Amino acid sequence: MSIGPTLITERLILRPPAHEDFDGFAQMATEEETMRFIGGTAPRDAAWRGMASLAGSWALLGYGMFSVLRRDTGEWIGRLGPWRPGGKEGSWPGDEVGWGLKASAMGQGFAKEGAIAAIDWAFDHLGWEHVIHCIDKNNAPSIKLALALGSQLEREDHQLAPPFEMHWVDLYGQSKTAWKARQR
Amino acid sequence: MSLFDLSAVPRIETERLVLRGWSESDLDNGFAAMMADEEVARFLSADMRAKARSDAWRDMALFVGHWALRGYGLFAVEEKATGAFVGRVGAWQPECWVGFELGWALARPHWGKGYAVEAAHAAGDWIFAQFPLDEIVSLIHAENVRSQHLAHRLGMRVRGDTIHAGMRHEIWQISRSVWQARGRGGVDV
Repeated sequence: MSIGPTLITERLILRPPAHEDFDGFAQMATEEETMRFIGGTAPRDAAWRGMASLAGSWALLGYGMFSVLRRDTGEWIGRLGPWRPGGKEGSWPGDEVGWGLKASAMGQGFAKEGAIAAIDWAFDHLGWEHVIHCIDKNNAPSIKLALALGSQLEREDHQLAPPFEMHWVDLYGQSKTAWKARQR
Repeated sequence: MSLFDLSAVPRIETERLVLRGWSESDLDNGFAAMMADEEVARFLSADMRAKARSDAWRDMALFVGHWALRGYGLFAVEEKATGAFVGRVGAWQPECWVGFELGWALARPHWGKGYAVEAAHAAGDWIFAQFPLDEIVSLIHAENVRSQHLAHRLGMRVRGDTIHAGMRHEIWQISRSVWQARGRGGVDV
């Protein structure tokens, strides 16, 4: 049984989180640099709750972040994908595709490769007309990726909803039309 | 990779209640209001405060994800006669938890009707029927007298205490044999 699709890219497998991903989630949650702009480091119990919430999003909304695995090694390297906690009626600022990879997987184009597949899937299957990325002003690598995906800065200094009300983000985004028209 | 099929969450009927799987509509049909009630939330949230809707959604996603990853979890409880959302009850064992827990929490409009004991009886029966456990536990905030009273009525006893979310919690426990020997009406207290 599956709560969501499996997407295959040149180097990656994207699928909903599963039990065997937990050691990856738990390790990534301890990486200070990785977690600095995506909620902060977390102990093992909180990492499990985070992973379970992603699985729960898939079950409740029909989408959520994917676990990202390398096709060559099978290694879990992070999570990315469609994310809108609270659903359409909630206070999240839009239909997001977000990303976060563990430190050892950064700098190799994996986040971009995965994000492209996730955005394609979201526009094709979720009826979205627009995609956003919520990014901390100081998160230079993520801003660079958003721009590389063709997204533009759309709004500054948006306060996230509880339990992340201490966090302010800039919103990058683009329309489905722009995404479909972009050069591959 | 394997995840529990969420459509297989059982539907358990008691005299007045239905225990069932969660749907997104539960959030605005009662769960968000329940967590926005400080009287309910104070023993359920880490800061003892009411939760915003966005935070309640994350709780609900966690409950559903717990089912997906573990194959068991907390049921949504509804009132049979009206379909109203009543609360949550069931099995709970996130990573690093103190044991296999039977947990419960009801929205305040449904307190005082005997619903919590009715739901907890049914959930405990289901847990012991489904899983080869010698005992179940309930983690209860040291000041949560109402819940302690219910645990006692279920036949549970205090085994010790622990610090959870920075606050002292009692660990209530009941063995399979004691659970199965007690009457449906609970243990006289």
